[in-house]
Amino acid sequence: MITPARLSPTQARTARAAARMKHLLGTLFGLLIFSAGALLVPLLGYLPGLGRSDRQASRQLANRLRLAGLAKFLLAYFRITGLMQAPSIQGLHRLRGGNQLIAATHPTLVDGLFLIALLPTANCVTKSALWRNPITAAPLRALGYIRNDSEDLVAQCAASLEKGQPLIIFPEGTRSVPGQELKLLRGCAHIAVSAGVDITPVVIHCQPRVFGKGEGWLTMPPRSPEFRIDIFPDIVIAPYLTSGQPRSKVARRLTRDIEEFLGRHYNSTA
Amino acid sequence: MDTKEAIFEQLKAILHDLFEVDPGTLSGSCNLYQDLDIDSIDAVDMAARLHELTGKKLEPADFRSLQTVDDVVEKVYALVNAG
Repeated sequence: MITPARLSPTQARTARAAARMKHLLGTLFGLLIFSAGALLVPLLGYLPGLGRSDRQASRQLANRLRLAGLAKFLLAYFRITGLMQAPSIQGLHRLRGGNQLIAATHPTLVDGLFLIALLPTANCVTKSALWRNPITAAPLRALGYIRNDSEDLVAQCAASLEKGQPLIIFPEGTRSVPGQELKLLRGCAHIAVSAGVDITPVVIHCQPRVFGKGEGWLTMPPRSPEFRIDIFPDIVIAPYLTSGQPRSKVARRLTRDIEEFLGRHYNSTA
Repeated sequence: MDTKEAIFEQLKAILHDLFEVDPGTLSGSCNLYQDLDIDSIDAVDMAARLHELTGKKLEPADFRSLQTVDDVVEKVYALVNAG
């Protein structure tokens, strides 16, 4: 067996280039499977005998379960091919499902997959840009996800929680920017106050970063990325409901508190 | 609420009460969304408060077209004086 130390500089360069190429092709292939699968998700609902239902809600739920299956498959593929290491998850027992509001950091595009795989029935607040693109809008509609620029965003989210579905929200409204303080929009706080549900903070780290904001889709990390998912005890909402202040002020205070909590844990080890 | 100055003072109080805007730094040219950190949910609350004060209904669609504090003052002035 040839050890790397015995390789000539040219051989080493070739080996590195080959490894990068393998990584790139592997990632592309994985994303291809996922994209094709995600696009098929809405169509699957209409196949006879495959969860066909006249009721939109149960069709959406069936689609979510299919997407969760796909996410699990893709994550397993990334892990088995060595493109990604198995994530380390802390506090998994705190994901109890039901009407749970998950507020997560969003360092990469991959973290949505983890949350979907962990909470298959969850609803998700999604960026309006994805709804303006017909290719991404079709699956989002089939999944019954919520558009973040909806006029009645808070009411839609509260109604979804009321149905006993977990709700995933990335309260920054976009992917986290590394090395910068987290800046949260107030939608998450409004949803929690309006629905009267506690917030489960989830801090997701990815080292080194892949599919981060402002990075090219094909920018390859120097080594396979390692994910850490920390699920923290709930931020209890009851004290915020009894302050007697207008909701605009309560939402500001709660947003600052969530921001401080997520920021402290996100930047401590990022 | 019949002069623009009076409307501006009312608005200043609302912005402070609801949105923690410092009255000392507020000017008519402040942009609601960029300078004062007001979001779409806040805009609904502000329209509701102005409705209480003036008795005139501000349509959400109308309100969204207003960008600065002066825009709001002008709009409220026009509503109040429309009779």
